[in-house]
Amino acid sequence: MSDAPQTTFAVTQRAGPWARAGRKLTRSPMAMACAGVIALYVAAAAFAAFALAPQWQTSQDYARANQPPSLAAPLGTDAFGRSVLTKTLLGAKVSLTVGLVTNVIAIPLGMVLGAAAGYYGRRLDDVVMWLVATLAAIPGIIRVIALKFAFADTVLLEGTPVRVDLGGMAGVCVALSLTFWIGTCRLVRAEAMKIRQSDYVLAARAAGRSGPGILFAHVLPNVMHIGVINFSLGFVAAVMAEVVLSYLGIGVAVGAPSWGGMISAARSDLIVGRWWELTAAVGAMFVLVLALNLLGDRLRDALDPKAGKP
Amino acid sequence: MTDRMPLLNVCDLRTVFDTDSGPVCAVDGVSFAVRPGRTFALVGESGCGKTATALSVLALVPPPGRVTAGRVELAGEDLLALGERRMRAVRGGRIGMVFQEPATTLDPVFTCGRQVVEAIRLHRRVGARRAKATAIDMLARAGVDDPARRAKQYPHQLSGGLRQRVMIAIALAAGPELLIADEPTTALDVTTQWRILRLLRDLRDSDGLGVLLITHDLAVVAESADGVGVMYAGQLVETADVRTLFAEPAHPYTRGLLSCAARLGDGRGRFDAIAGTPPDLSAPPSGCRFHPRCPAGKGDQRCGSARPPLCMIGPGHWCACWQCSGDGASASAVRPDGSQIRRGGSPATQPNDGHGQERTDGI
Amino acid sequence: MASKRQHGVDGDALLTACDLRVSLPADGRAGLTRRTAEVVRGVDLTVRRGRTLALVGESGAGKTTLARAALRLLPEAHVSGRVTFDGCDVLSAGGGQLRAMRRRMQMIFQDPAGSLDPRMTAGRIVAEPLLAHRIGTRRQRRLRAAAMLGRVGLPADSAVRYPHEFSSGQRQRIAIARAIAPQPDLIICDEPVSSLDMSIRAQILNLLADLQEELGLSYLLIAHDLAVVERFADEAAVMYEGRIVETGRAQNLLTGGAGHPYTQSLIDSVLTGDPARRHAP
Repeated sequence: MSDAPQTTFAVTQRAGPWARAGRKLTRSPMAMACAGVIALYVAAAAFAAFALAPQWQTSQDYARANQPPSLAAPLGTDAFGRSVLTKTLLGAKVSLTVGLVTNVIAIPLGMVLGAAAGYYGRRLDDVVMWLVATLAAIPGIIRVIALKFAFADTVLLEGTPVRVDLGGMAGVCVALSLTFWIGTCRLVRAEAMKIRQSDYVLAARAAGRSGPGILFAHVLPNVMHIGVINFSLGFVAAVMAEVVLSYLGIGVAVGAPSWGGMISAARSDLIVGRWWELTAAVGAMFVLVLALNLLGDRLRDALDPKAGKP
Repeated sequence: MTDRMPLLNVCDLRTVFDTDSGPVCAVDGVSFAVRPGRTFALVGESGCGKTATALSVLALVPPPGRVTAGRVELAGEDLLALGERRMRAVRGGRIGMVFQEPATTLDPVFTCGRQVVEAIRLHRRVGARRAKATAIDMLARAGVDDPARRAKQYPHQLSGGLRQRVMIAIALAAGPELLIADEPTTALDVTTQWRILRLLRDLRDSDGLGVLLITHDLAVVAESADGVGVMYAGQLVETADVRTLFAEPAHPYTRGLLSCAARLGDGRGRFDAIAGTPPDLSAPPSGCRFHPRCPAGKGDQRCGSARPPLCMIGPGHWCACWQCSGDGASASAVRPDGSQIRRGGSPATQPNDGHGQERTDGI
Repeated sequence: MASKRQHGVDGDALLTACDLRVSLPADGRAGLTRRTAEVVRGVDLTVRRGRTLALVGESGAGKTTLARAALRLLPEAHVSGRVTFDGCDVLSAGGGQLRAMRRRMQMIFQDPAGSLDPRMTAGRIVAEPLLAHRIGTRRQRRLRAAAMLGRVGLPADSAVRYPHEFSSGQRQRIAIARAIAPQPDLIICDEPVSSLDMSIRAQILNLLADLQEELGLSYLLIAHDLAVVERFADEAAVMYEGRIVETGRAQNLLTGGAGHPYTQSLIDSVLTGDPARRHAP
């Protein structure tokens, strides 16, 4: 038996890359505060979705229309007499849903295509990069608008309980995700090309591993951090994109509560001095986007593979 | 060795890194001297603190590290007391540094000539044309073939050996008094290695430089050094002139290192190894840091409880080991750099005394 | 636990290369350009069962390229000549046959940190060759991985630890455990100790020697340290600019004398390690 050391390990806590990143995040007060804010939004949106949404349509009360903020209606009322606070919370539900669904589609799509393109190279890489370049040549918001219109009348799985009407929110999500996957794809591809050259991939091939095996066991886990960071960035982008679309009137169904819609309504309201709807929407959006951005920054630092031991 | 005034005098240097797992003492009371025209080698394995020592001399220790105690005197002037602005004049101007990996320490977007010129003009007030001529001259002295042409080339166009020569030219461009070479030949081929070492020696002799050589390779030490300091886990465990160290190594770690190295002509067989691994500096062993791996001194209580002081066991030969200095009573009261030690006394009266005084410390 | 190989006579040829030539694309991607550089130019060598053949030479001589091409790990290279492993032709082997051969030929790399996937635990890393060749059930793989980690001298709970928690020497031990897990016949060691400290080098080399003795392994050792080669290897081949200039018993080759001038120049460059006998001023 060789004269090898029987050392004990100094650290006994879990040392996986995600565990370490989690520890770094929990140690940062800023990150925890932002996470708290986002959690609050989620809770508020959930509350709105389940408790407030059912009465939304029937809560119109023209007697109380266009009232400034007061005790009865903390953020005032809109043109139909509905509480702006409720409207803001429902808008949060819309924004968060769009952010989530969009990225849940876009990020895995971008990661898998990017990893495959980077690892296999040659033809597959050519095809994926052609697709990326073609799509990227179209300016972002126009891409989204075009896709949204393309899906305007499409209804998937008609007749089943899972009927997906792509004219509304689903359409926004699909249109946005088909445009957001590109950024992740490019980043992951570059990283996959580096990983392809690494010794541990060569060792895996020498050990007899096949291409797809290496892709899923070695490449994807080592690019996962890019996916996570892009998720947080993409969330912000999706929220803001949805607001723009709704403002333009081509977002979620017309008349449904959304921050973009509220900002749009403000165009005519501000002239007559009705500021509360605009302020509510912009303020809610500002706080959410700020929290997401700051958390995203901390996340990027925590997941930096070059950071070494905690 | 005591015929010349030391050019660089390091006294009780202590550098600590404030890591998440606690303070790590990377350099723990190290003292040595480099004389002009001579090479002093600091040898040890990874994590022993030799690079940290070199960076401490240049005040380039990256945060979260900082020098907490000791003196670093360059021709009598304490470098640790200088501010950053004056240290910048020293770095490059009075102390040149050559690094291990010329591929990464040379800027890939500038030509070699430009980088040498930059080094010159940072420290000497010369015009561009003079600087360029001096740069080509420096490259020639560093053994670069066709220096005028090479000066216009980029680092990636040169071989490893040539890149290292360019690094040496940059380090010596401003005419420093001291050269610090951190593993200058580790990344090079065998055939290039000894040429670079010989170049360093020739330049040292012609310019009267003092050289501080940092390496883990004992063969390099044997080839180039005049004086040697062996470091282990942040501490200096033995220091002597090179012939004495190789002929009569006293410390068990030094002996282990020397026997580990395979030499041509020894024939087939197993390798002598030192059992165990270097300690984790955030939780070092109590007493002598080498004692868990030490083949000598089993049964000696002192090894595990008290840090052995650096004691003189021969002319210019110091060793920090309970086994080679006995009880230390007969040890001389003079430190390697020539200053006196007062024996005994409480820690309160001798804040920085790391040698000649028994300590029951853990860290 | 693995036992010494029973089939095959000790000393028989295990891996042979005949006029092996390897060309790599000189720039850009393979396929886009026709410019190639011949890195290995007609190499003959033989690795014997249970023995160690060392390949020495300076960087750029083509040693690593040779080894990787012989295992068919360089898809972008153009390889010609003949390579046989235990009688079977390697270069023209089909998918299944190649995979079967891959199981019996393993590799250890120079950089211990780079050759271990930082996101996998040591246990998973060591079990990977077993998984790739579908050896055993998941539980058996796990047990064997733990056994291999113990065999190379790592502590009991190493299997759940990540590479960054180990020192360099320990990481190389993990790489060795991974290499011996599928019970190979041949291990190609590409500068296995060059980036390790002196005292750790000795430990690792002794471990490799022990494993060779115990498991009947053959090694193709790529190294530039002549003293290590003399102590460790049975035979040596000196490579210069893609060609083998000299082969023979390692101890005879490296003691100098009437050998190839390039070998002599390599020997002359080695630092003596003795301050009394420095290189000529």
